Amino acid sequence: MDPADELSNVGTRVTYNVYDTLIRRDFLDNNKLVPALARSWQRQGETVLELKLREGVTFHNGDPLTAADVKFTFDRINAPDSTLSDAQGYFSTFKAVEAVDPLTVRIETKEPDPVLEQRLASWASWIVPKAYIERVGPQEFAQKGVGTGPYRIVRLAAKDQLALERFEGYWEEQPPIKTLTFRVIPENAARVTALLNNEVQIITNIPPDQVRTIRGAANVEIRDIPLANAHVLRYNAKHPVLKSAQLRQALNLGIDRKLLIDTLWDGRAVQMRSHQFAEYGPLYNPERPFTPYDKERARALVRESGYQGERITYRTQADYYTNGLQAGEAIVAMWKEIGINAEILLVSAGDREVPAESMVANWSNSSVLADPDGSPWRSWGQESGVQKNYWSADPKFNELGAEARRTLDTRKRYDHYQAMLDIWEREAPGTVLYIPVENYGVSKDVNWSPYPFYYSDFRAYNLSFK
Amino acid sequence: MRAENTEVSRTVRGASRPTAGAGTGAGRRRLAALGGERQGAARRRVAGRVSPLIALCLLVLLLFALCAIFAGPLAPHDPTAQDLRARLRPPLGVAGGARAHPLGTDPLGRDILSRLLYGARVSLAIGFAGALIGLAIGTLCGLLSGFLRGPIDEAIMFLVDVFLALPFLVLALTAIAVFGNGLTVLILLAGFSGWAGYTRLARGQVLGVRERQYVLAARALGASPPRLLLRHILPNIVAPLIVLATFELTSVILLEASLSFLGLGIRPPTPSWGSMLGEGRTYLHTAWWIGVFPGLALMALTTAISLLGDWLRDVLDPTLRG
Repeated sequence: MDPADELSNVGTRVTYNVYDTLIRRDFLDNNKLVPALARSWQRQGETVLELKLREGVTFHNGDPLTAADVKFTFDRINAPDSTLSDAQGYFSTFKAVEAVDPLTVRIETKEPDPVLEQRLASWASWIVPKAYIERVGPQEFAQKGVGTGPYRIVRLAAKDQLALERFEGYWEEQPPIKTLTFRVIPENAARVTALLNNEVQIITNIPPDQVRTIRGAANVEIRDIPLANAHVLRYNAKHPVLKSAQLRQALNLGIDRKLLIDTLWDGRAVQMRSHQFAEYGPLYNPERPFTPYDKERARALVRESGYQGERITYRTQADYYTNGLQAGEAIVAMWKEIGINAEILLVSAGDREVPAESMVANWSNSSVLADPDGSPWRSWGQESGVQKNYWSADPKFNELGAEARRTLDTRKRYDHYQAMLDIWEREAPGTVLYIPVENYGVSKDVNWSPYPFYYSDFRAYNLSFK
Repeated sequence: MRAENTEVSRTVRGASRPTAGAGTGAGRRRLAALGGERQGAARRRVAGRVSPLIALCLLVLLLFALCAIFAGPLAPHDPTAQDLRARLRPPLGVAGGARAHPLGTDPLGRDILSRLLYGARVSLAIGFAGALIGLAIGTLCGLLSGFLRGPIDEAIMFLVDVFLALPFLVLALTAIAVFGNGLTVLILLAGFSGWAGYTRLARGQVLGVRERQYVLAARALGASPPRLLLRHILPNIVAPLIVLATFELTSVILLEASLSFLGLGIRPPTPSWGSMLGEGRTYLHTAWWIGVFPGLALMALTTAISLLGDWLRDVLDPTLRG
C-alpha cells in the first residue's frame, strides 16, 4: 500500500482512493490541472515552482499535513539509497524540494521542466506522512498505508479482498458510501456472474468479445473508455535479422491496424496518428496521418532489404494484454503475406526476456503525463530500456528529446516532438498498434465514470446513486 | 523333481504379487494378476466376442485415424488460414451459420472443422508415439529388473518409486520450461509419463515366469540371457503390457490436451484439441462451438480407447473367461 512502490494497474486502483496529490489531473474535465492538496502554485523563474498547501488537511492517523511531508515524499523517492526505482523515473528532473514554511513548498529542478505541474499530478506523486513512516518504517507502511485521501485502509480482509472505510476527516466532500471493498475475481465468467447477482456493483477488465454477455442484462451496463495507453510492438534493431531499417519499415507497413480494430476490438479501439495521444493538447498534431498500411510497398521493401526468409519470432504472453495473443497471431499472418517468415513465441509471466535473442515483442506505453515527455519520450528516449538494449537511436532523436524537455516554449517543443516522430518512423524501432479500450461492467444505478488509467476514483464528485 | 519345481514357481509368483499390485490405479492392480501362458487360446477367441459397443469403439478409433491421415483432402480450409472478417461465426444449423464453415469459426476466423481434423493428428501422434515409447522403456527396465534382480533391480525400483511419488504434470512443466515446447519434447514427455507403470508390471510378470519350467529348461540347455529374455520371457508377458498401453494411451492424449490447454503444449498456430479447448473456455458464453467440438472429439476418442482397453483386458485375462 506504499503509493510510490505499488504502481501497477491493480495497485493504483486502490491507492488512488487512499492518497492525494498536490495537483489533480481532472479526468472528467479535459485533463485540466486543478488544486488538490496544494491550493495554488506559481512558477518563480524557469526552474522553481512554489506551492501553497491547503490548510487543515490531516492524515488518517490525525497528523496534520505540512510542507515537511511534501519534502519527505519526494526526498524519499529521490534518495540515492532509495528502493523506489520505478517512482524515481517520474522525478528525475528534481534538484531540491524545500519546506519554506509549514504551508509553503518550493521545488527546484535541474533545468527548466515544462511538465513539472503534470508530474505533481501524475503517478507516484501521492503525498505520504513523514512522522508516521519514520516511526513505523517502510515495511509497516507498505502493510498499512496512511494517506490524506477520502478512504482509509481498514484491513486486508482476506487474501483476495481489501476493505476501505470512509475517512470522516477528509478535507473535501465526503463520498456517499461508508465502505469500499476491492475483490479479486480472476475468472471472467465468475466476475460477470458476481455483477449480475449484485454481489458487486462494478467489475473490471471485460474482454471485448465477452461484452455481449452483459449487454443484454437489465440492471447492469458496459462503460468503456479508451486508455491513456498504446499497444505497441518493439523490434530489436540490434538483432542481425532485424538490423535493416527497410525491413522494419516493411513490418510496420504490413500491419492492417484498422482491420484489427474493426474485428478484434469491435471497432472501439482507437487508431493513432503515429505515437501521439490527443491529451497532449497543443503538442498534439491532429493532421499527422494515421500509421499507414500498404501491402505492396511493404513487399517491395522486404525485397530491397535483403531479407532471406529468416525466422522472426513475435514474443507475447497468452493473456497479459487484452487481445495480445490474437493480435499477435493476426499480425504474424499479415506479415506472411508480405513475405515475412514470422511465428509466435508464447511465453509465460515468469520468462525473462534475453535482449540479444529477442526479435519482436508486444508492449504497451502509458501516457503517464498528458505530454510527449510521458510517452513516447519516457518509453523510447535516451534513458529508456529500449535504447539500452534494442535500438541505437539517431543522435538527433536524443538531442531533440533532451532539448524539448528543458524548454518552456510550447511551439519549439511541438516542432521538436514532430521531428522526433519523423525519425522514430524512419528508423522504425517499433510501431504503434492502437489505443485499447477498457470495459467495465457497472450497475445501472451507480453513477461512476472510469478513467483512462486503471485508477478508480470513488471521490464524491465521481460517485453517486440513482 | 516336478513337485519341487512347481513349489519354487509358486513361491516366486506369490512373492511377486504384492510388488506388482502396489502400482497406482485399479487397472494396473487388476492387470498384475494376469497370467501369461494361455494367451494363445484367448487370441483365437477374440473374433467371436466383439459386441456392438466394441465395434462402435473400433469404428470411432478408425474414423479418427482416417481423419488424422486424410486431414489434408478432408479439411475444407487451411487450418491456420485466418479471416478476421468472418470471426466467431456459429456452426451450420445455428442462426448465422454458413456452409463455408460447418462447425463455425474461432476468434481469428479460422475454420473449426479443419482445425479439428488437423488437431486429430497431434492428439493421435502424441498419444501413440508416447504410449509406444513408454511401453518400450518400461518393458526394458522391467525385464532387466525382474531378470537380473540384485542391485540393478533395487536401483530401477527406487527410480520408479521416486518417479511415481512426484506429480507428473509438475515434472512436465519443468521440462517444458527448460527444453521449450516443441513436438519432440512433448512426445518424449508423453513417453516418460507412463514408463514407471510399465516397469512395475513387466517386472512382476518376469518374476512370475522366470522360474517356470520352460524357462528353466531353456536355461539348462544353455540359452544365453538375451535369448531367454527375448524368446522365452518377453512373449509370455506382453499381453498385459499391451492392455496397460491402451489405458496409458488415454492418459497421454489427455496429458497433451492439458498442457496445450494451459498454453504450454503445441505452439500456435498448429491446431491441437487441447489448445482449442483452452481458447474456447473463455468463449463458452458467447461462442460455445469453439470449445465444445474439440471437447466432444476428445471425449469420444478417449472413451473409445478406454472401452477397447477394458475389452482387451477381459479377452486376455484367463480368470475372467467364462
